[in-house]
Amino acid sequence: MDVWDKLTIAERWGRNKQWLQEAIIRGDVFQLSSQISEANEGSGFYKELDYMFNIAKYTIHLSGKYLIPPQ
Amino acid sequence: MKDRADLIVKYFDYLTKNYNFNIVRKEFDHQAMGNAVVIFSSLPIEIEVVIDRDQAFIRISSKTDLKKEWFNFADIAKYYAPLLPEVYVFLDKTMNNSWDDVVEYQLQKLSQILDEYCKPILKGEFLAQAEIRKIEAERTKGLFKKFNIEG
Repeated sequence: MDVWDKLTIAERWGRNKQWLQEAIIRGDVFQLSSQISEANEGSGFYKELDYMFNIAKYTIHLSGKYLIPPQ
Repeated sequence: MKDRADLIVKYFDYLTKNYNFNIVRKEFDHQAMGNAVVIFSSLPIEIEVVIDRDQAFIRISSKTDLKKEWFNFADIAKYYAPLLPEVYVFLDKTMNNSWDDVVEYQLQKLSQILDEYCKPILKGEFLAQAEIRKIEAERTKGLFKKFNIEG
C-alpha cells in the first residue's frame, strides 16, 4: 500500500495495464463494477475501458455488465 | 494516508449543517488503495461521494425514483452551470505534493461546485431529471463512439 501511494498516475497505470494484459492473455471475461455511462473522461475506469475496447478489442455483452474477449 | 471518509465529511459539512442531510454510510479502507464512500441522505435526496484510487466522484439520486438510479454529477453540473469547465479534474502526484493533497483539491472543488450551483437539489427540488438524463444520453453516446462500441 505504501508503494502504491508513492506512484504517479502513469506508474499506477503501468502496473494496472500489466495486470489487465495478463488477464487478456488468459482470455478472461471481465465483470464491470459500474455501467459504461459512469466512465468520466480521464478517470481510471475510463482509461481501463479505452484500453479494453480500443487496444484489446474486447466487446460489451448485451447485458452491459461484461467485457467479452475477441473471437 | 489520511482517512478519506473523514475528508469527505469535512469538505461537505454544509450538507449536514445547512441542508438537513444525515450521513447514512461512511467507509474508508486503507488497504484497498484508500478507497472511501460517504452517503449523505435527506428526505428526498441521496448524495454519494466516492474516492476511487485517489479520484473523487459524486452521484446523486432522488428518493422518489423507485429504481433509485444515480445521476452523474458531471451531467448535473452541465445542466445547472453549462459554462463551467469539466467538473472532474484528475491531478497527478508530483515531487511537491502527496495523494492526500490531490484528493483534498478535488473534494474542495467538487464541494464548492455542488454548493454554489446546485442549491435547488440540496433543498430537495430535483425537478430537472428528464433534462439531465438527456445530457447523460448525449455524453454516453460520445463514450460509445470513443470506445468503438455500439450502444
